[in-house]
Amino acid sequence: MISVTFTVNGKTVTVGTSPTRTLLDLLREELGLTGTKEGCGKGECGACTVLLDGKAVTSCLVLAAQLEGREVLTVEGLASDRIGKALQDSCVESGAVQCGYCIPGFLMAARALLQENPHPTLDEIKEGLSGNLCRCTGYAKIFDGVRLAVRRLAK
Amino acid sequence: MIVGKYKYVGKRITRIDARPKVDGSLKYPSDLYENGMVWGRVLRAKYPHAKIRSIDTAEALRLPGVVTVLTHKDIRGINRFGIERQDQPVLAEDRVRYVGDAVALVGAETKEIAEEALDLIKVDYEPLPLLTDPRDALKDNAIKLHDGGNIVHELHFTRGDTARGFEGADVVVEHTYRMQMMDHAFLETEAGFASVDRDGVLTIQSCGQYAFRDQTQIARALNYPQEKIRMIEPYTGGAFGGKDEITVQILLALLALKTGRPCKIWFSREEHFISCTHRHPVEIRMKTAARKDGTLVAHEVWALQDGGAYATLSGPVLCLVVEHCCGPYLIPNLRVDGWAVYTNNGMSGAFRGFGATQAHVAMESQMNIIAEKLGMDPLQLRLKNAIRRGDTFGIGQEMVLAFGFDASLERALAHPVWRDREKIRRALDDGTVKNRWKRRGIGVACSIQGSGLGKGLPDYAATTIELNRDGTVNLYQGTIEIGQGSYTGITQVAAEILDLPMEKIHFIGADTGRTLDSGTTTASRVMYAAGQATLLAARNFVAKIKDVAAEKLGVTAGTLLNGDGAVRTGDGKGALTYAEIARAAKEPVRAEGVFNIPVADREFSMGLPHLYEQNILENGYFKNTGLSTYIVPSSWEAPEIETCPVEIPDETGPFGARSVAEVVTTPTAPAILNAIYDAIGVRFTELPVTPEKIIAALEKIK
Ligand code: FES
Ligand code: FES
Repeated sequence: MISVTFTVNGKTVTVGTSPTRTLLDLLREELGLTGTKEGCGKGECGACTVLLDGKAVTSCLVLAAQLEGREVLTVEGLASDRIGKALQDSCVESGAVQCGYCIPGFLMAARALLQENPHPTLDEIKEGLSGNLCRCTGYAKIFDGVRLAVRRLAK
Repeated sequence: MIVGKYKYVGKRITRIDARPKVDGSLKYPSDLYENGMVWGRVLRAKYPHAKIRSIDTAEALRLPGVVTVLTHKDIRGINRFGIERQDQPVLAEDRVRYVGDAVALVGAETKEIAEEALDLIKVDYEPLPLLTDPRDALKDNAIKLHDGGNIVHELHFTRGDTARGFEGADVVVEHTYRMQMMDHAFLETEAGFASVDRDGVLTIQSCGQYAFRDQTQIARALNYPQEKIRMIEPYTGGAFGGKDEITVQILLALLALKTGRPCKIWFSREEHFISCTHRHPVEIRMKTAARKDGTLVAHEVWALQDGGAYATLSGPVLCLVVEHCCGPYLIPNLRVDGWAVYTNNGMSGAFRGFGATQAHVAMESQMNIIAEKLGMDPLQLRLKNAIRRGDTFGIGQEMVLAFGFDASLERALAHPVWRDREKIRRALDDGTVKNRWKRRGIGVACSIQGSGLGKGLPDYAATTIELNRDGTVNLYQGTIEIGQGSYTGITQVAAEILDLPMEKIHFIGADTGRTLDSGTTTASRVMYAAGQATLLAARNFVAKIKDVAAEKLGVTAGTLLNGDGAVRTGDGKGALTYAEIARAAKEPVRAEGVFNIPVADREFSMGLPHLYEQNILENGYFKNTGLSTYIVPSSWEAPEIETCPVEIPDETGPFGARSVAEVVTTPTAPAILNAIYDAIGVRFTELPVTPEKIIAALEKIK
């Protein structure tokens, strides 16, 4: 067992855990933040994407021992962020949400993308979201949502 | 749907569940945890076909943190489930028939301990010979997978005289098509949470597609009183038919009853791939004849469907293969023979399109081949043979309701992509280096599919609407939101009739304790059946509140008008808000609506993945059980889609609406097959078609 201290959505947390627990399990099982989803547990679907020090990572591949002093942003903290809120609103309006299980992961990946590149082309959006799978929407409306957010943020 | 006349219906309205999904607050079945809960893990079969001589759980039980290890001996009921035929064991007894068979169930304090305990269970197997070729299943000397033999279902139908039809024809084409096994690959794997109270009442929150049937299946398998089982299944992270059959539900019930503690089961991705139902692999041979002018005259179909180890919905899927084997065309002479058989190849069941998809791949390829032979425009050939309202087609279905097939064909004929297809195709032949290796093809395919369960099956839905003291209403509807947006559509229907803003309608989804049985969430039926039931419930509700208001205001109910959350007298002098009515009512205001789909309604009504995905099995073992080896389309493969709706309102649906879930995915694969032929002149009759196969085919022509 180790004890790690890190911040999640701006709050400092300390958890006692085995060093090999994943960040995904810590979020969902220890911190009650179930907005971050698990679709494969192996880094293949992107449903578990969160931001670690501002970078998009698949939280099922991040281990507890790597977390000391780091900063995590999950979908639950997204609304307090200007880009994040714009993405949430535009995805709701553009019909990007069907079963919705993939959406938190997409939002987090898009949030990282827009931070780095505020005016992405469609191909850059596709590239930025290529690690995230969606089985319901066929992706087009998710791209629409991101593009709508880009337009709104530019204003 | 006629837009403009209505306030809520037909308007672009935000889904009622979108916000809680984007802020992460909506709880899916896999999101439920409780302190002190038990994690369940399932031991799956080691062989695709084997006898079980013994199961020894002693060592697993000794592992610290293991709460229980359960086998078939712990089950008091019939230990079987299956939507159509109960032939699948909850926990295997003396035999396993596919690698997904559940052999034992571990309950432990953590999921890691549960996982570790699986390795400590000793099962003594005696491997048995395999049945992996569905053609072998039909042979008399084949090994028998079930007591009743290897045939799950067979169907034979003839009309007219095909032999004579072939004689008088100008072209006859015969081909064999093979469609592969596919995975639903929904993003949330099967999950659920169960608890049991002091009175023995089980509450199970899980994924599923029909809470009431799951309740029955649990009661039957475990011999537990049905009234003591409450199923709650409103939301799930995708289903596509793959959560129609039982997955976690009975195991959860068993674990909760045995431990008396809250329990969680969540299948891993790999476990999902091997244990769940798939799209049926089907082999279809078609011989089709036409006259010079394009009139189809005869059609013979032979279909063999590999159902895998257990029956689940193989029978009904075969029915749809057979029903759709003529596509949306009139053919006077028809003969069709179909079989669904058992094998050791995993398990197949409900999957978007439900057999209609496989039938259309074959039929729509045939249509293009015939058109080419006749030198006819493939769309004109389809128009020539198109069924129209009033026709009896296929195996005797009557097209009694609104139907827009010919109108859709006319629309496609006039579309620029079709009109200018020669030019579009040749646009790449410009001799530039960039385009030298590119070919472009234009393909077309059509499909027909019903909404609702089909002829002979009782198909109904029921909705309850209840008035709250604050003037809002509760709408109880027992179907499931699997992503299709029907909860929003149903709320729109209620909002329209009640003339109440959407946010004043609280939606309560599938819960056997609170909602009425509304049938399955399948067969593209929900918006149609549950929508119509809601319309009736809302009308009854309005009548009731008018009665209450009439008494209070001292007028007759007939003179009252309903609008904007209030009831008014005709002259506008007297008015009561919904909240005032709730307070004035002597008893709670509650109204129900029940809708039966007209029995004759079987006349009409994930395409891209069908083209290149495949579950690969070798000797009964799954070879690709992860999302890095079973490749689903990513953001790069997302095609651009332009939809041209042809709206023919249907007078029996809510505000003329019909469900369009499945029918739109069916023609995609055959349309692309036809486009590939158009581009490179190679006809593929076997799915999937991968880039490797295309290269191999091109090398052959060279
Ligand atoms: S759960 Fe982490 S990538 Fe799929
Ligand atoms: S909306 Fe269902 S997986 Fe994306």
